[in-house]
Amino acid sequence: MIVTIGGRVLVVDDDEGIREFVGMALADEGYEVVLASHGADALELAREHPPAIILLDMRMPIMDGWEFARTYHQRPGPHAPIVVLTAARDAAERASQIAAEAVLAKPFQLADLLSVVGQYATPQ
Amino acid sequence: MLDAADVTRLRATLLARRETIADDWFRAVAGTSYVPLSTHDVRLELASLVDRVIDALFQEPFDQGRARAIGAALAQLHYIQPAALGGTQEALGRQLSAQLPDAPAPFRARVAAFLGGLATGFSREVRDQILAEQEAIRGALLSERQRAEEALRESEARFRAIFAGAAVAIAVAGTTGQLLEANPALQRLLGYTEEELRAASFIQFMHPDDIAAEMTLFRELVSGQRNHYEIEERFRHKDGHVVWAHMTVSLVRDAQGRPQFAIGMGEDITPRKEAEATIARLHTDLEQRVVERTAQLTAANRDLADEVTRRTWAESGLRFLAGASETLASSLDYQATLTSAAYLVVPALADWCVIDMIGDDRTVRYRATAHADSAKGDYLRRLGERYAPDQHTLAPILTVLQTRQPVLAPVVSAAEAEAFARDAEQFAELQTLGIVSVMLVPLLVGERTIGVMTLVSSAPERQYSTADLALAEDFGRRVAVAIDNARLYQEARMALAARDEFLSVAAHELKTPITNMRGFTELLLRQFVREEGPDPQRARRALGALDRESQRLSRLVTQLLDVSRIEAGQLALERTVTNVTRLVEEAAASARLMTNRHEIAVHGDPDVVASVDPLRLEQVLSNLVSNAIKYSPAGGPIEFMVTQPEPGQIAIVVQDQGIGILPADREQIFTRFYRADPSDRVAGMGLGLYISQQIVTMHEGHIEVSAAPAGGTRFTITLPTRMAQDSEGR
Repeated sequence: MIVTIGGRVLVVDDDEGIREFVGMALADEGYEVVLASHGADALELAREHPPAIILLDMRMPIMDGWEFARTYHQRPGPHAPIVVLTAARDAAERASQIAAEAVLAKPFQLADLLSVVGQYATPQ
Repeated sequence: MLDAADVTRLRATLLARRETIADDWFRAVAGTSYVPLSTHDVRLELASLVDRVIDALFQEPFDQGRARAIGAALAQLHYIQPAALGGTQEALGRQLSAQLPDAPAPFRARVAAFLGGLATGFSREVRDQILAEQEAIRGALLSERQRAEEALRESEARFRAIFAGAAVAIAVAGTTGQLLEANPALQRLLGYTEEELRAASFIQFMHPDDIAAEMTLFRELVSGQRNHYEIEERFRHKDGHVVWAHMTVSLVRDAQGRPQFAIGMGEDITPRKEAEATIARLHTDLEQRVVERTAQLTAANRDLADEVTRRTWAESGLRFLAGASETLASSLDYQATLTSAAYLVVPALADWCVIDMIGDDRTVRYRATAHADSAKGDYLRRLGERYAPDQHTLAPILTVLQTRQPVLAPVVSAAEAEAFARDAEQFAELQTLGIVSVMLVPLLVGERTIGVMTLVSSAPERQYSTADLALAEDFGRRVAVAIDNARLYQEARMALAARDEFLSVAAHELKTPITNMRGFTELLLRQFVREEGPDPQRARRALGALDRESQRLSRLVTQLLDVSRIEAGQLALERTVTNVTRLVEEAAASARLMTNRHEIAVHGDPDVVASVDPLRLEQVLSNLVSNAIKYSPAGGPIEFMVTQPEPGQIAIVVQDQGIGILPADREQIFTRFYRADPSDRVAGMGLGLYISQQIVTMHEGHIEVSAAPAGGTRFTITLPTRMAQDSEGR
C-alpha cells in the first residue's frame, strides 16, 4: 500500500543538468521539487521536507545512492518510495539492492518519468 | 784208589753242576778270539766236553789219552795264540777244583793228572794244527782282498767308460757344490771345458731364477736328509743361451754312512721345453683371442642393450611428453599451468622441481614448486615463502636466463651445494630436500627467456645424463609455450575485461549528456505544444543546457579518440614557443566558469616560456583542474603554480584541498580506465589522467601526484623548455 503524502518530489543526482530539466519538468506539472546533488544533502532535505517520492541517482560523490537508501530506511517514520535513475546496464539489480519501487534507465523519456512520479505523488 | 762212595758223591756233584761249568768255560773261550762256530754251537760243544770230562775223571783206570783228546777238542774252539790256550787251561782247572772243595786226596791227584793230559792235548797235538789253519785263513783272506781290488779296478774302468761315453751329462760334486768331475756330455751341454768346470761351483752355471730351488734340495741332500732328488732347471750355456736339463742327483756316502759327494745326471730337455713354451704361447694366443672375441661380443651385447634402453627411454620420453602436452593444454590459467608443469616432472623426471618466472627486472615474478614426496613438497613451498629469492641463490638461474643455455650437473657435491646455499641453515634445508643431480632448463619463447625450470634428483641412482637433459629441454619448450599461452590468454582476458569495463563506463558517461539533451529537448517541445508557447527564459535555459551537454559529449568523444590515437601511436605534437604562464591563466579562467564553489588562483613566475604543443598542454591543465573540481565537491581553493626551478625546465603545480588520493592508488591513477574510487561511483571514464600523462611524456616531461600540504591532491608537471634546441633547429 503506497501512501502518498503530497506532491513533493526529492530529486537526488550529482549531474546538474539532470537536476535542472527533471526539476523544470516536474514543476511544470505542479509538483513541489526539492533538489540534492548527493546523498548527504538528500538525507537532510528529506528530513526537513518529507517527500512523497524520491528520484535517486546511484553514482554520486560524498554519499552515493546505496548509502543514502540504507540510512534513509533505517530512520523511523514513514518512508517515501524510491525510484532509481541510472545509466548502468544492471539497473534492475541495483534497484532490488535498495528495495526501490521502480527504475528509470537513462536516457529516459519525460513521459515515463512523469508517469512513474504520478503513481506515487499528487500534483498540488 | 777212590772208594766207591766218594766216586758216586763227587760224580753227582759234578753232574749237578755241569751247566755252571759249561757257562764258565764259555766265558773263558768267548773272551779269546775268532771262533768259526756260532755261539749256540760253541755252547753245545762245551756242554759235550763237560760230559766227556766227567766221564774221563771217573773212568777206571784213568786214561791219560782221553784227557789229551778232550784238551785237543777244547783247543779247536780257539784259533788264537798258545798263551791264550794256557789261560783257558788254568781257568778250567780252577773251575774243577772250585766245584769239588771237599774232594779226597786221591781225586785231587786224578784231577791234576787229567789237567796235565788236557794241557798236553792243547799244546802238542792241536797247536800246530791251529797255526796251520790260521795260516790257511790268512792266505785265503789275502787272495780275497786281491780279487776285490781287481773287481774295483774293473768297476772303475766300467764307470769311466760310462762316464765318458754317456749321452747324459754327469757331474760329481763335493758337498759344498764344487765340481769334481764333469763328463764330456756335460761339457757339451754347458759349452765349457772340463778344466773350466772343475774350477767352479755348479751354481755359477745356473739360471738365477732356479738357484734358490736347487740350493734347497742340494742342502737337504748333502746334509743326509734325502738320498736323491729330481728337478727340471735352467743353465746358462757359455755363449749365453738358456739350456733346460732334467737333473737326477744322488748322494754317495762313505763307509761310515757320511755324505761324501753327489752325482748329478742331466738330460737335455731344451727342445721339449721350447716345444712346451710354443704350446703355452699358442695356448695364450688362443686364450687372448677368446678373451678379445668375448669382449667384442660383450660390447656388442652392451651396445644392443643400450640401444634397447635408449629406445625404451625415448619411447617413455615421448609418452611423457605427449601426456605432458595434453595436461599443459588442459588449462589456460597461468598459475594452474605453472603448477601442473612442476607436478608433471615429479617423479618422472625429477624428485623435485622449481619453476621461476622471471620479469624484465630479473626478479622472480612467480614461482611454482613440486616435490615427489608431498610432505617435502609442503616443506619446499614453505621454504620458498620464507626465503625471498635473492641475487646469490638466483645466480645460476640468471646465468641460464642470460645465456639461454641449459646447465647439466650430473653430480652435485656437498661442497657445491654449500656454495650455492646462502647460509648453513639453507644448506641444511637443501640437504633435507636432497640434491644429487641437477638440470636447469631455460623456458624460451621465441627470442625471450620467460623463466627457468630447475629439476633436481635426490636419488643416487638417478644422475642426469645428456639424454635426460634433451628430454627436459623438450619438456621445457612445451612448458614455455603453454605458460606463454596462458599468459597471453590471461592478458587477453584482462584486456577484454578492461575493454568491457571501459565500454560500460563510456556508455554510462555518454548516456548522461544524452539524457540531459533528450530531457531538455522534450521539455522545450512540450512548451511549444502548450497554448501559451515557450517561456523565453526557460527556452534559453534549455538551449544553454543543450549546448553545454553537446560540448560535454564532444569532449568525451575527443578523449576516446585521443586514447585510440595514443594506442596507435598517432598522437602528434605541434610544438610552438608558448607563454605557459598565460596558458595556465587561461585554463584557470575557463575553470572558473565551471564552478562557483571553488576559488581558482594562479601563482608563480610571470611569462614562463617553453616550446610545447599549447592545445595539448591546455588539455592536460583542463583535465587536472576538472579533476580537482570533481574531487573536492565541498569546494575550496584550487591553486596553479608556474615556476622555472632550473634553467631549461619548467614546473606546473595543480593542487586542491579535496578528498585526496590514497598513497596506494597514486601509482595507478595514470593507468588507462583507472579510477581512484574502486566502487566506481564517481563519474568519469578514467581516461583523463592517462591521456595527460601520455601528453606530458611526449613532451619528454614528467607528471607525478602527491598529497597536498593542506590535504587534497597535488599534481606536479615538469617539462623541458627545449628553447635552445628549438632555436638551433630553426
